Amino acid sequence: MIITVENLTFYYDSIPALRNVSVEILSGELVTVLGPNGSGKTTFLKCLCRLLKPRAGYIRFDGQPIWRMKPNRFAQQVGYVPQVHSPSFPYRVIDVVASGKTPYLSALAVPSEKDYELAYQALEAVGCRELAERPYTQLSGGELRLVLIARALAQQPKILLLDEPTSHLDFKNKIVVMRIIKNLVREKRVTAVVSEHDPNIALAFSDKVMLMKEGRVVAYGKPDEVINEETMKILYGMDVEVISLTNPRSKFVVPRMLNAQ
Amino acid sequence: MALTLHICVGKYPLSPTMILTLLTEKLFRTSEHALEQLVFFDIRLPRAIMAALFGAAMGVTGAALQSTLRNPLASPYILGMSSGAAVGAALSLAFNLGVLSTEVSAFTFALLAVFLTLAISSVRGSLSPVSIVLAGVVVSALFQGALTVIQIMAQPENVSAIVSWIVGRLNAVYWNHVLLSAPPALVGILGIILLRWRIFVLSMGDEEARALGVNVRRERVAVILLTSLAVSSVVAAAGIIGWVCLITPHLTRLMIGSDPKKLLPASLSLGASLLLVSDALAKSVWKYEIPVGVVTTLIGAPLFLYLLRRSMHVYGGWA
Repeated sequence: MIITVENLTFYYDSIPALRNVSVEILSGELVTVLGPNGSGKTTFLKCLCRLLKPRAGYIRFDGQPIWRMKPNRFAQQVGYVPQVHSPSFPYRVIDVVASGKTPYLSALAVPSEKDYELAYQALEAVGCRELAERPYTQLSGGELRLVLIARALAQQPKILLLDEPTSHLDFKNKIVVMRIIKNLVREKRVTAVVSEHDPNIALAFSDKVMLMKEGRVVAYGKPDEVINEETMKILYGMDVEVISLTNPRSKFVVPRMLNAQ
Repeated sequence: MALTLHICVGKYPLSPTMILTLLTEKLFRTSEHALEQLVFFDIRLPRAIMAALFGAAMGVTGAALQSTLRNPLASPYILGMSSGAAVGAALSLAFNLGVLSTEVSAFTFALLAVFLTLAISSVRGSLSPVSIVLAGVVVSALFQGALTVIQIMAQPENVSAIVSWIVGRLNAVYWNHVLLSAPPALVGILGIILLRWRIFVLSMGDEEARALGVNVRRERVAVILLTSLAVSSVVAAAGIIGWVCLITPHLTRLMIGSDPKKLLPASLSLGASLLLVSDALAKSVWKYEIPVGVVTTLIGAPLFLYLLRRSMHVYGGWA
């Protein structure tokens, strides 16, 4: 699905959070939204999944304005993984994943055996099948993140929106989660929009990177074209050095302040 | 089983086999045991059915509200229903408005309290769990104040009637109560059980439920209205019996886990059994009847503390 955003503007009461954001995201791409705290990343994602209604501008999925779609039809196309989830009751993991089938059920229905089979497959896809029967209140941060991604997969979406999927995860799990997201984009041909704090994660995994600051798009394009010393200086007000490795061929952003005396 | 126990226990003991005899006698329209028939059909049976209905309604609505409001301490009474019902009943009893009108008045005021709670909490269009609970607390306080005023103004003999109504009065339940409260109670209970998956999804949080295509505001109001219907109609008939609504869902979760498909039906049957057993105790442990509301409180409060201690690690998120 192609996501077209035109002149998107959003205010929290009188405080602007997004100003004239225009961007086009192609089908099957993994796009990372990179920017400092308060730059509008989360607001942008919430506008994309209709949790926030923009003040002006519009968002279209395959040419269709999203606010004209029915809520359950919309939820069949778009899976959302929140930044934080506070568990309320100790539900089994598999039930939480099965709740992803809700947009396909009528108000009085309960998921069928087939729906649960699909939920197991979604859990399998994120490599967590063995967690199915555990209470989801007892999972580690990384496991919970993967379970929530599995729930979004059970929605069988064409677009996945993930709000900082690597936050609070350890050094390795950040990469595990991003790899899984990358594979899902490849195999299931979904479009993914991911907000992120680490330029190196953005460099390693995205097809496109969108740089944001103070509610505006600073730059949008291929990661190694967009992420450089100048743009990082604009974004974070900090001097960085971009170093290139030859084996494996990759670029890394290293903050200069690490070496400062 | 709890039903049989409940029917057999009392000042005039009936054996389980006697019940079978009585049922066949009724079927063949004979009356060898006239006194037993009177006790069974006109006193024991309506009281037992009311107790089961009350417990079922409380169990199911308690579980539904805890999920819908994402609050393990939520219960139907938190919406202001109990104080509303008490004011309704007190008004009618204090000014001698007649027997049937006590129930009607309690029912009306209970619903009024819930509408007030919903109206206050939707002022800024939010209707979030926190604003509902806060509004419920305010409305409860308001009606508690009104209740005190009514008690001060009422005649002494009416005050004792009010007090005995408030602590719950399954002992004064007859067929007309059962027939009046059963239809709305069953509608509410059935509606909530049918909505059980949506109720589970609501407990994931407002934003996530919306991202799953659920109309959060509409569904939450639907659950609250069905709850009010069920609870108001049983409370109007049998008074305010506390703790069943709070304990039952937690006990159920400990027994069968938090299965979103089974939790509500299981809470229903456990709530019914709990209240039947409590009421059987209420009428049998002492030479006088203890109000069943007192029994549920005496059992419920310590049990709740125990459960809370035991399940802290499971509810790590809030305990």
